[in-house]
Amino acid sequence: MTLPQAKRLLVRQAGKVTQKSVALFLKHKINYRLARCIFLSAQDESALSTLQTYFVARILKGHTKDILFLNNSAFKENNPNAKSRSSALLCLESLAEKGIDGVLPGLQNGLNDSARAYFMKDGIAGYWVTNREVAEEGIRALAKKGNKKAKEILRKSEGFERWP
Amino acid sequence: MTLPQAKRLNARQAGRVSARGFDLIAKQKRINPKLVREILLNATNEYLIGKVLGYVIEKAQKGEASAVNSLSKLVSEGFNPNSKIRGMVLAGMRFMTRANDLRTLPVLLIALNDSVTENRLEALRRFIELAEKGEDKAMFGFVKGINDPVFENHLLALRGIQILSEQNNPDAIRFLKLYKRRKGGRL
Repeated sequence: MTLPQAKRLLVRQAGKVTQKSVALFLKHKINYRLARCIFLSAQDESALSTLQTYFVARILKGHTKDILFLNNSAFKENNPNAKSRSSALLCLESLAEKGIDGVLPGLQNGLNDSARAYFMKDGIAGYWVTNREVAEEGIRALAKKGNKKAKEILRKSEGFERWP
Repeated sequence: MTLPQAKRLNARQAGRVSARGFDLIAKQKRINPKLVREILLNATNEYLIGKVLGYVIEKAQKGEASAVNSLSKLVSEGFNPNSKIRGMVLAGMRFMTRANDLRTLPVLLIALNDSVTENRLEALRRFIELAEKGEDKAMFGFVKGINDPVFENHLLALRGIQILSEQNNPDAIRFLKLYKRRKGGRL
């Protein structure tokens, strides 16, 4: 199967993205439009986790443009697929733990996301991921690393909890 | 007629709509929600709008059932498309919630479905006022508000549950316990 064929397949079979098509994506040079297409339609846990590890490795290598891509995919208005939003947020969280400051806008948007996604584990049972909680943890990790903006967001939210 | 004259006339007439409307409502025995809606949607004078709303809230405080009914309709988005007036009604209801009036509960639960963030925040504030008075039923609003897509509203709902748990409400204590466990012992 060629790359254009795979693209057409993805568009036609939205919601049926398999590990096979992701593997095809990984073979070629990075194609952001195809990555966006997969993120918008993917429901498969293994496909999403493969994409996660791929993007995290790329960003750690120094491809800073990918941070923007992940920030956009974690935004509710750009990506209506809650499951892929949470996987993008998990990516951003793992990057925040490594001290990359550029992920803050994506995490800040994640705070206003109340959706939950169910991830299967070994095909038997799974666990719920709440997007807001993932974003909160990411911001905490950034604040620990000494990011001033993240500290300010945390301080504001704690102040609000003490209201009135 | 010149343009400035027309402008003056419009401003004067807009005020007259609500002034006449206020007289109409004050004359009636019971408050009619449809009449209130017509007056509020056509009027532009904020002072008079406040006066009409204040009259309805005052009647509701005194215990008139039709006034409470009209409040619950005015808060709903389908009946009243003007978001500013919905916010004004919710703000005016603080006199009822501070007096621990439980008839506000269904009205506030309707307001939590509002599409405007500020109005939902205002409704949660009213729930907090009920919780501070020791009203257990405010928990309904907080459980709904904790799933709010906006982070600030979520935090306010959480704060409300904390207030209830400080008053030894068993439901609130159980909820916070589960919430803490889900977040890995952190709050």
